[in-house]
Amino acid sequence: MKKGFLASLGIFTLAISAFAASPALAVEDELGNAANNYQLYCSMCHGREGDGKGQLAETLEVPPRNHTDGAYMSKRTDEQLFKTISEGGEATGFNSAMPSHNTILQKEDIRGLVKHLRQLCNCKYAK
Amino acid sequence: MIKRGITVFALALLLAVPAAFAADGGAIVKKCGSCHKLTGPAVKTIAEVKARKAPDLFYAGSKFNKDWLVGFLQNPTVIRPAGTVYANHIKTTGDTDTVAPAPKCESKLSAGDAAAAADYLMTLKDAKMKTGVAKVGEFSKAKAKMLIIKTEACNGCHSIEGNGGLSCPTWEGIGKRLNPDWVYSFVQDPQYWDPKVWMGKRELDDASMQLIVNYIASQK
Ligand code: HEC
Ligand code: HEC
Repeated sequence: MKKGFLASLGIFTLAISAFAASPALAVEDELGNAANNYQLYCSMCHGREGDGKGQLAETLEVPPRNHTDGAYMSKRTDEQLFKTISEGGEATGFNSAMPSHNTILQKEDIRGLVKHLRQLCNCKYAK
Repeated sequence: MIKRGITVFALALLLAVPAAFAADGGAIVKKCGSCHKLTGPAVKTIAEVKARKAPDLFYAGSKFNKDWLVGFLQNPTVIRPAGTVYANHIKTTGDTDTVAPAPKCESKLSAGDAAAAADYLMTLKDAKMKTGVAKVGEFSKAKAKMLIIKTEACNGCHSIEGNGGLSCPTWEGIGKRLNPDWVYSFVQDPQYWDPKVWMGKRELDDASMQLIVNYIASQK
């Protein structure tokens, strides 16, 4: 009896902690995935650290944006960032050297990247 | 008598099998599977792409020109200066990102084995790829370069005539390497071949596609 109670308590606690842990995990996963996506699709231009010093930077006509520049990045809304990543620089009035990613990445991936950019600049949108 | 016959037959089989396999392209290529994916479909997650050691070969017969394969398999050259997966070979030193030397293909086949392996690889075709689409012939090199360098900025990622990015395969000798029909298909829809590849899809009309395909075919 007592053993059974303890066991069910154990399962109960496990269930609670699993429940409590899952939202946190989801966010971590999303950002973990975003960091990987950033390395794979953005780092050649924007740099591994997001500072705009990627290996390709020199061959481009326009320097890639420095994503760690909080002063600049806080002037951009999340929607603007999303659209630039998704549809490319030309769609939002920037240089076409910034490619579109809507045929490569899912919407959730791009949303994750916007969050990742907010981590890189350590900033959010401020008018 | 019968017993002896069987023994002789078994002996003959034992001798014949290795002889038949010595130039069996399929058996040679199987060993390349430690680095290359030899059966489809292509991987679909970032984690799997990051773990990729070498380019996929399961559609080699659609992608490559056979003569090029025979030469490459005996003496591989560097195609992707920053490795198969660029993101795995960059490091930040001081102020800029630099590329760590990328591993080359380790195929070192004899001329005979290379020919057998190439024969086998050419049988690995993608059933859906349209053939006879690329029309290689006379073309305006000036127009092609305008499109490739100015409009599409392919040199952002590819090294073209000695200048350009390192994150993607070089165009040096690319005309010898690739089947023009495959180039046509890949440029129109890179993700059909490799769902997570970092080259974007382009919406180009047939005339522009022919310019690109012809320019690439001319890079020998
Ligand atoms: C081929 C090089 C290249 C790649 C790859 C690339 N970018 Fe860019 N990006 C640029 C350039 C160049 C600019 C600057 C355009 C300008 O200033 O007109 C830019 C600008 C931006 C901007 C600034 C837009 C603004 O509002 O100012 C964002 C955000 C951005 N890129 C995000 C990304 C993300 C995320 C990725 C990866 C999914 C990526 N970029 C991949 C070259 C690139
Ligand atoms: C130790 C790992 C390794 C082994 C084993 C290996 N390769 Fe490779 N191979 C590579 C790498 C890495 C590349 C990419 C080289 C580059 O792009 O510069 C490559 C490139 C190639 C390419 C060109 C692919 C393309 O898309 O451009 C072919 C063809 C090829 N290998 C065939 C073979 C064959 C056939 C064998 C076996 C006889 C083999 N390889 C064994 C690592 C390997």
